[in-house]
Amino acid sequence: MPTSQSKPEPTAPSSDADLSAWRLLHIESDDVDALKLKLILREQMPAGSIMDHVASMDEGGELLHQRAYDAVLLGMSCTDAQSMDTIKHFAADLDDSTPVILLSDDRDMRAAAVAGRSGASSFLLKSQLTALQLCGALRQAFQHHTYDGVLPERRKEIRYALEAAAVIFPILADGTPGREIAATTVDISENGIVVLAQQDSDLVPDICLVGVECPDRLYRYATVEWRQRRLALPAIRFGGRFLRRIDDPLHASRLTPHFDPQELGFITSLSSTALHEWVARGILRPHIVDRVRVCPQCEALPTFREGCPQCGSALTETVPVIHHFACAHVAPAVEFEGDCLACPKCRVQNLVVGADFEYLNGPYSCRECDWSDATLALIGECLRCGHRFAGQQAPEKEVFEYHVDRLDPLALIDRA
Amino acid sequence: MWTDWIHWLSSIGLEELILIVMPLICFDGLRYCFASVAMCLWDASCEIWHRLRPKAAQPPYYPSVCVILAGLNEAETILSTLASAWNSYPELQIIVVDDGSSDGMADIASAFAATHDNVLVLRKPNRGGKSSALNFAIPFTEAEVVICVDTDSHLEPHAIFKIVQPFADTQVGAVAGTILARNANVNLVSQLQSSEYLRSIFIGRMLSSRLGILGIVSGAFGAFRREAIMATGGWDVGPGEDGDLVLRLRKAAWKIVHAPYAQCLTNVPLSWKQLFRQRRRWEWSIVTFECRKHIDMANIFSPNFRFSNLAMLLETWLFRIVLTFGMFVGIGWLVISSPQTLCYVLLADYCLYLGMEFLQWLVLMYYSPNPRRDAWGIACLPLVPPYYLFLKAASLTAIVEEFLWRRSYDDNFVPVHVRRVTWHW
Repeated sequence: MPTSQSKPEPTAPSSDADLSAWRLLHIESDDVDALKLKLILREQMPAGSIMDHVASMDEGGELLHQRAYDAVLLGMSCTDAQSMDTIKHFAADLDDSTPVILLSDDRDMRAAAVAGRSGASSFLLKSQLTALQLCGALRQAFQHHTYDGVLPERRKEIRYALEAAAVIFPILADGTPGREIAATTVDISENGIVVLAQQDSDLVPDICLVGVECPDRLYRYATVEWRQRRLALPAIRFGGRFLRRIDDPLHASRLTPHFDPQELGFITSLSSTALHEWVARGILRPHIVDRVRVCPQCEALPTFREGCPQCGSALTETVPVIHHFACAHVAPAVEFEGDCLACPKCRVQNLVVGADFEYLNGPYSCRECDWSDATLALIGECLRCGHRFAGQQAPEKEVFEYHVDRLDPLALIDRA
Repeated sequence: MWTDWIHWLSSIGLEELILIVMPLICFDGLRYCFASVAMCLWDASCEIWHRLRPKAAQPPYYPSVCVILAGLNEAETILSTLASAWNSYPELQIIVVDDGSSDGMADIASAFAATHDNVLVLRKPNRGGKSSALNFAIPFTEAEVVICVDTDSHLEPHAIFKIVQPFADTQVGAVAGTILARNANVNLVSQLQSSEYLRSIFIGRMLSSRLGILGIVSGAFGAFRREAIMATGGWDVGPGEDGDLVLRLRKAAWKIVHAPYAQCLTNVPLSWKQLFRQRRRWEWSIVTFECRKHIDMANIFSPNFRFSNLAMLLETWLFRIVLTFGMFVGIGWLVISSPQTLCYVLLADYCLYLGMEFLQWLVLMYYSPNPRRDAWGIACLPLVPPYYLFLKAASLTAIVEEFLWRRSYDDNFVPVHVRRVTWHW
């Protein structure tokens, strides 16, 4: 694995959001509305800005795949946008980094609300649309989707050259790691990474864990979905975006144990086999979060309660015992009961608790067997298999969560 | 002085000499010395006879047994007591009763119980006295024989087996074990007590048992038939609850016997003051029980009157009360009537007493299961007469204050809330 490391260098200059040209996509079926918008924005957009217009969402979707846009203006009077499902699908297909501004008629408020819930930045009413209002909404949307004043789509373009040793672990379908592949990083951005690896492209699945050797000589890892595979002889150039949140097979939520009400135990989303494999590779570090006592038979969580040490039954009863101070007689309380409380040994009547006698806990007896003794035992009863066992026989099981040293691309970029 | 004493001894006539030593010979000598010598001679001749005509050995008796260790703030010693008792008898049940200790005694016992079978720890939330602690354990056992052992005692090997053997006789209700000093070699007080225990408990109770007048089963190591305890209502409020229970068992026609070779070592007081207090407490119970509570045992018209019970009472009254007073009255009379010969008379009695003590030592050597351990008691022999004089003084004090002021009901052996409501006999 190569260990050489160089400082990342920006390949494109950053620019201020307000001064840079805008690239807008306008989806509007009504040509009159489209023209109105073009006229409104013509004087307001920075120099060099472009605004493409398409009539349908299908066309808009195709265009979005071909070109990068800073924002999408979606007119809700589109004939094929009447279906709320269509709006939702469109919004879901959009890249997180591309803001969507809805331009709606009054009657389409419901659809606009649905689309808004699906990720739209804001919406405006066509009837009340002004240049100032639209530019304000666009700038606000840009600010929400920018980092250090750089537009998200452009930031994608800002790739920093980074020559460092890397390693690729294919993540197989069952979550286990595949054969380790040595690689070298080419460049890195906030959202993705490009590496060179001498490996047959077909053997590298779409989702892999990529480890990059950082300046402190430690490898840090990120899950990458390969979007680009290009021949760069004698190696193959892999380009991909970092997977975040739920798409990441090694996301923290999959490595943290949680109580499973079906299995009645603590489990992690990733299978134990896969976890052990990753631990064996040195990628995951187990960390004990708890120790729980489990059923000795099926390792599910049991309940613990006091019960009969012989049969484990909870159906035990105790007999209150009276200690008569004057004659030191100790006997079950029932022997003292009659017309009045009287000692069966010395025949003294009308005993007063505290002054003449005290109550003590008598022996316990089990209703299900012939056991009788002074103290109950701690009994465990498995909630899954119903197995009863003495509390001290329950094995203690450690519950682990797993940590992985996450790659922070911004930290590498900041060093530039 | 010795010359004067010899001159005085030779000057008096035989009749006068007999008159001087007769009280000692007739009472103390007869009861404690000559009777034990006679018992020893009898046993020796029986042994010879049995050697000539061997008798079939009795089969061992194995009743179910429960040992009750009732104590208060005995955290330091409970563990060694438990260790000495545990597994010393087949399927032995041990019940530890913590009578409201504040030193963690129950926790120590519980830790022991967690790793040893058949050990049960009962905790009383409040102190109620030893009697209630012992009674509290009874509902928790089904054993045929219940053995009480003090929590600062140590059972000798096979002690439990030996103490239960007399229960083969179904009329036996209680068996007294032998108590010996555990800390015998600490100082003079403990050595003298050790020597005394060997003579008065080991030999003395053997003789009382043979005569059928044994009236005490020591609470430090005594065995009771559970059926007998339950029939008599268990222990009454102390102090002296062990002796009280035995008297009630005697009234109920149970036999009380002694198992001399069932031995238990217990800690004895190490100072004269502690010893004085202990003996006072012991002697109070003679007045409380033998002179007051169970005086009906002397009533020949009582439906459960037995001559052995009367004999036991008479023996207690005579030797432990009358002679205690008699001895001090006699000394006082000598001081007043003939002070010039007081020393000579006391010296004569001292020599006679030494001779009788020596005879008892020989008897002890005959019966002792471990003569090497017990033989050193002869070294204390010269100090035994003044030691007994000290004990008699304690006894006299106790008897007087109990007769006059019922002092035992002010003693903190029993907690205040109990002694306030119990009967003052």
